[in-house]
Amino acid sequence: MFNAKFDRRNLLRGMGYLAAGTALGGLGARRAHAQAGAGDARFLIVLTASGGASLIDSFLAIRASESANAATINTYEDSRVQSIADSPFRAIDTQGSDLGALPAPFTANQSNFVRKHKDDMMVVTCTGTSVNHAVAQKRAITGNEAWAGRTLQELVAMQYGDAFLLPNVVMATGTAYIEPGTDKSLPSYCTGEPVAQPALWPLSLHGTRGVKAPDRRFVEMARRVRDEQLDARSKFSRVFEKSPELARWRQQRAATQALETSDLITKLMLFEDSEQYPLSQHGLMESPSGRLVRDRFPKFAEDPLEAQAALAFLLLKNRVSASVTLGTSFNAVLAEGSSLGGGGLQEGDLINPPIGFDFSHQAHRGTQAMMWSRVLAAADGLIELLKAEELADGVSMWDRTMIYVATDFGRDKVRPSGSEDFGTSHHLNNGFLLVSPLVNGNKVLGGVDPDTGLTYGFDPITGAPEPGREMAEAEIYAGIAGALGIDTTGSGLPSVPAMSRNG
Amino acid sequence: MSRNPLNVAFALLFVTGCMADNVLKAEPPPDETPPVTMPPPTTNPPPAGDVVVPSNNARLKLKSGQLYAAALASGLELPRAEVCHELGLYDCVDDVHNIALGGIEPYRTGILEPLEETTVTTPIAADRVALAACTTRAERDFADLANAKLFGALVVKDGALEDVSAAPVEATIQRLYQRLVQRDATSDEVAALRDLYTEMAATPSADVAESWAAVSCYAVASTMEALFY
Repeated sequence: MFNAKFDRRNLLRGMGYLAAGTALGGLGARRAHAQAGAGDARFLIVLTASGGASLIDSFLAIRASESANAATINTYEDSRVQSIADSPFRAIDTQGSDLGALPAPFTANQSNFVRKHKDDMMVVTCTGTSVNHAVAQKRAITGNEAWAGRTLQELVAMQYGDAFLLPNVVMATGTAYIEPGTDKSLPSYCTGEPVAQPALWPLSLHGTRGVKAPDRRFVEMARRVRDEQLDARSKFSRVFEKSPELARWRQQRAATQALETSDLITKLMLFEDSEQYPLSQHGLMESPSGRLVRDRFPKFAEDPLEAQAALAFLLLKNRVSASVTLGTSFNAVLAEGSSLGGGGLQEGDLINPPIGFDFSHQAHRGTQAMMWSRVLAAADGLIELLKAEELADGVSMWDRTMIYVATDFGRDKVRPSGSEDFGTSHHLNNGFLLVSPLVNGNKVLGGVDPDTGLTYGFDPITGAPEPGREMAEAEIYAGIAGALGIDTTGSGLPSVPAMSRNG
Repeated sequence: MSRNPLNVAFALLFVTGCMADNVLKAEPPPDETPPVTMPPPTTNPPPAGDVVVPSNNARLKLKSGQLYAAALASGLELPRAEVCHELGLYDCVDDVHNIALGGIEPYRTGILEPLEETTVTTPIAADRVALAACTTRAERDFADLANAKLFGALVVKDGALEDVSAAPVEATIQRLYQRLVQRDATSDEVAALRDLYTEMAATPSADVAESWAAVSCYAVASTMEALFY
C-alpha cells in the first residue's frame, strides 16, 4: 500500500535540516547586491523530475525495428519515435485519453523543445546506486557524497553566490533534492532557503510593508528597543543565552534589514494588483517583471511548478540567488475549476498526476510523456526569459546558466509482450538531461543498447561511447561541477571534461 | 475507458507508488546543530545584582504559528480570525506564513512535518503577525477608550499621552507583559517603553499615543520570550 508518510517523513525532515543552516551568517557583512560581471557569474537551476524520468521514453527512445527484443523491451513503434534533424536526440510526442486508471486526457510534446534547444542539450548516461526515492534524489545532487557531501547547489552558492542575499533557494518541497549536504565546513549562506509557496513567499521578505501598522519610523524605534533592551536584558535571554535557537534567531533578525532594504517584497511579487490580490490597497506593487513572468508561466496561480519557475527567474534576474531548485511534485495537481464529477476530467484538468513521474507504476508511457512535457515546458520558459536578460557586456544570463534535470533513477526496461499500456518499477540505469550553453551541447554522451534498453557510458575525457561501461553518480557530479567552472581543487573528483562545452 | 468519476477518486486514493517498498531512509542528516555565530552583544548591561545562571542545556522551541496566533488572540482579546490578514484577505498563519512559522501543508507542497529550525523569513513572518494584531488592538481601543480591552487606562489628550511618567502608563505596560509573556514587567522594561514614547513624541505625529500603544505591544509580543518556549 501507499505509505508516503513513512518515506516522505524523511524528505520533510530534510526541510528542517535545510533551515538549520539558513541563518545567513554574515549576510549583513556581505554585499546587499551582487555586482558580479559576466565573466565570473554562473547560475544553476536544478529542475527536478521527481519519481524517475526515463531517457528511453524521451531522448534515447528505441525504435522497435532496432531491437532484437522489441516486444518485451520498452521500445516504441518506429513511427512514434521522431528523429530531430542535425541532432542525436529523439523525441516522443503523444496524446492519450487516460492515464492508467485516471480518465484524464492529455497531449504531450517533446520534439518542440528538442528542435528549439538541441544545441544546448546534453544527455549523459548514468547508473545510480539506489532505487529509493529519497536516497537517489540526494545522491543525484551530491554525486553519492562525491565531495564531502556537498550538494551541487551548495557548490554554486559558495563559488558564485557569496554576494547574493539568498544564494541557494530550494522550492522542490517534499523531495530530498532540497536537503542540505553534510559538509559543515561550508559557510551557512550556502545552505538552501526553503520556499513552500512561491507566489506568496515575497510577503515574508518585509516586516512592515503591506501590514496595517503605525509609521515605519515608529516600528523601527520599537524594534531597536526590543532588540537592544527588552530582548537583550530579559531574564529569559540571559538564562538561555547558550541556546542555538536564540543565536540563530538573532542572526536571522539581523538579516531582516538587508532583505527589507532590497525591496524583495516588490521585486519578487508575482501577482498583479487585482480584487483577489489587492496589492495597491496595502501599499504593495507587483514586480516590474511581473507581467513578463506571468505571460511565460500563465498557470502560476494553480500549478506549483509554474509558480516555482516564475519565482526562480525573478530570483536569478534580481541577483538574489545563484542556485534555484524547483520541480515537479509528488502531489496530484488539478486545474482550478476542474471537477471529478460529470464524466471525468477534461484535457488539461490533470496538471500533475499523483506521485509525479512515479505514476509510471500505474501508467508508464502516459506518465512519462505527460511529465516530460511538463518539465520541458518549465525549462523552455526559463530559457526564454534568461536569454532575454543581459548579464553584462552583451552576455545573456542564459549564457551563464545551467539547467540540470535531476531525476531519481530510471524505470524498468521491460514490458509485457507487445503492451502499450503497462506499469514499471524503478531501475538504477538511466541518465540525465542537462541544458546549458556551458555543456557539450547537441550530444549524447554514452548510448543505449536497443536489445536491453540499458544505457552505457562514455569516456570522461573524450566523450566517446563505451559500451560495457557504466557512469557513476560521482562522475556526473564532477562533470556538472566542471562545466560550471567550480574550483574543485582538493576535492578528489574525477575529471570529466567531456561534459563541458570547451572540454 | 470508463469516465465514471468514482474511478478517478478510486485511482487517486489507491494509487500505489514505490513508497511502500522503501525501507531505506535518506542519507542521515547532520546529527549536530550547525554552528551558529552569535552576533556581538548590542545590549546595555543588566542591572547590578540581577544575576541569573545560564542554562547549560538550553533547548528552546519556537511557538508554531497556530500557537502564536492563538496566544496573541487571547492576550489581545481579538477573535482568532481577526489577528492578521495579508492583503486583507488571507490569514497570515493559515494561508501565507504557515510553513515559515512551523506549520505543515501536505496536500500541495508535501510538507508533512514542521521545519525543525527557523528560516530567514521566520522572524519577518512573526513580525508581521504581531504588528498586525497589535495595531488592530490599538486601533479598536483608541476608537473607544472607555470600553478598551487593553489600553483603556491611558490618559490621552490631542492624540498624545498626557503624562508618560504617570501611573496609567506603567499599568498599561504591566498589562502588556502580563497578557503577552505572562509575567510582570521589570522596572527596566517599563522605563524602556516609556523612553520609546519619549523618542516617538519627538517625531511629529497626530496620534503618537495610539502609535506607541501599537508598537509597544508589537515590541513585547515579538520578543524572543514571547516567541520561544
